[in-house]
Amino acid sequence: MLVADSAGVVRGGKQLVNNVNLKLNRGELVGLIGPNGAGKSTLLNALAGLITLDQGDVTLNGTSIRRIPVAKRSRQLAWVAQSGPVNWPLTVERIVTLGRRPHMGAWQKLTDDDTRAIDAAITATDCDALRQQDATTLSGGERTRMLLARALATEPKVLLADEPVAALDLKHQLQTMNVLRNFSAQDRCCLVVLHDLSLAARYCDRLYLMQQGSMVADGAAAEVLSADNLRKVYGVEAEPADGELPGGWRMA
Amino acid sequence: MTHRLLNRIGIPGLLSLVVCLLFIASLAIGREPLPLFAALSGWLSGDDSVHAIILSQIRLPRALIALVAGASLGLCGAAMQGLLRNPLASPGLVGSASGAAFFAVFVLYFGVSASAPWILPIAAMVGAMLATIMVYLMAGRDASITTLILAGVAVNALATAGMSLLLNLAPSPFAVRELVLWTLGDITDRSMSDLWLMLPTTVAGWLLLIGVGGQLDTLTLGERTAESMGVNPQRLRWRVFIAVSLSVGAAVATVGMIGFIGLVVPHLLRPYVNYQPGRLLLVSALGGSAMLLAADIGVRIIPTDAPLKVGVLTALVGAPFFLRLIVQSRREYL
Repeated sequence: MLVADSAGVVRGGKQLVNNVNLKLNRGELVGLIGPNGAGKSTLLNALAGLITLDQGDVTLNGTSIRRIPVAKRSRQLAWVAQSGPVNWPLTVERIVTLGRRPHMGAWQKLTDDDTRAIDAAITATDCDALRQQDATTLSGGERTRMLLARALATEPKVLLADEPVAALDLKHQLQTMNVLRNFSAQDRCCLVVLHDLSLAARYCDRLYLMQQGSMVADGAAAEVLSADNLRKVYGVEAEPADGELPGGWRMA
Repeated sequence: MTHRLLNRIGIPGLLSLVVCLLFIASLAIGREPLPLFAALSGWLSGDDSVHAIILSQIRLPRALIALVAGASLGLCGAAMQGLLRNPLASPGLVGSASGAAFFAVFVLYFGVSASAPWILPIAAMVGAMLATIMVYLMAGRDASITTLILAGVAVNALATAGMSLLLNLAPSPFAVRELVLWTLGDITDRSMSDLWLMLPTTVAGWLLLIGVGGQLDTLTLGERTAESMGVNPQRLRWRVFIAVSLSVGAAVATVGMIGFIGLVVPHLLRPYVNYQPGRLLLVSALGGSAMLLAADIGVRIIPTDAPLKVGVLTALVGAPFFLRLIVQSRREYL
């Protein structure tokens, strides 16, 4: 449903994203991995239609993403920033409620559908206890969960999440990955940027591996996370574990 | 009991009530205390008693102008703060007001304004727009509080320097006095024609701000995220800048420089609307009206040898408040 076709982004004379082909199908949870500065966030921005491409195209259900009216796009596609700001001390509940804005007119009140979506998003991300808390006083992990809840409340078809588990404790990492897993069903799909390769291998249907703006490998986790790729891209040596997936790493 | 009343009519209702009371008080209070009913019935029945004339020619335009200009200042302060996501942004600080004042003084000085009455408000609007854009370009979009203040200081300094130059070169002490009085901010001796002159652009600015509330709410999550949620930040920014220039330009052209209303009012009211930038717009407009009406009543009540100017009074109240805000934000942000 979301397709990048030889997409390229140049900023300040630097090719940040180079000739990237990527495809998200219905029902898929896809992981995007790669070392720092590989261009993952830039690619995500481009996929969300937030920056213009210098080469290639990104299409959502066959229509170029920059041609879809923003109001329509914002109902179909949600993007979660890596560490998004919260500028006013609104309560967590109100922040999540903002996720319904794409569905509402300027003067419209919340409908039952809206309330249901908000409650579901808050519960899924384990933010129930935080509802009335000032969003600017949350810890990094709590804030990440709240911002994910905001995106889930929009009930998009495509979810692009930039490192949604980076600041989370172990329990909430697994919980968030389960939320994304459950989200990616039927006619919905999700692309998630991850640094934790074990999580990526465990939860994602497919993985894309990026390095210096280019796509190095894609496919099933076992293929992408081969000892060869890990050495080449991350400069680490994989230690074979019991299963077929690499279980541990050490510096090459 | 007050709580139950508050719950029923809400903050906007309560503020409307306060504005109405202050408006009536503004008609009644002055050097010549007016028996309101007698004056009103006299005016309506067309007799020209002294009281009827004071009411219709002096008090009414004065109160209406305070009402409209105050609403513009409060509303624009709230819109600017929402847009720049910064509790210190306001038409005064961001240079809109001083830019408007400089351009207005400029046309006053060269006598251009004498040729057509609408030149003054137009010049003020252009000045407000230029100053706002200058500060915005200098500070950048996600400006920190410090950058924003510095850019504001720089543009304000530039506008003040321009005004000082004109004062310096002014041909007669009389001209100097007139220009200075005007930069102090004053609502006395205004007529209904002044009101009609400021009203069209003021209302145009207000209308532009209708419906931006939801977008300002979304902007709480940053420009990128807001954009992903269907807001066009570029368009929103210009819409607010133009609206502020129209309304504040018209207000400054009519009443001169009245500072701090756009800063103080939204800040005081923010907790009562649960910090939602969208809901803050309407209540700040009402609050701005209330503050300017109150200040204008204040200058009539406070006994001073020379008549106190309303802009001086709002500055005296606002400046300490501004200091407190800075100390607070230093604790929170830096």
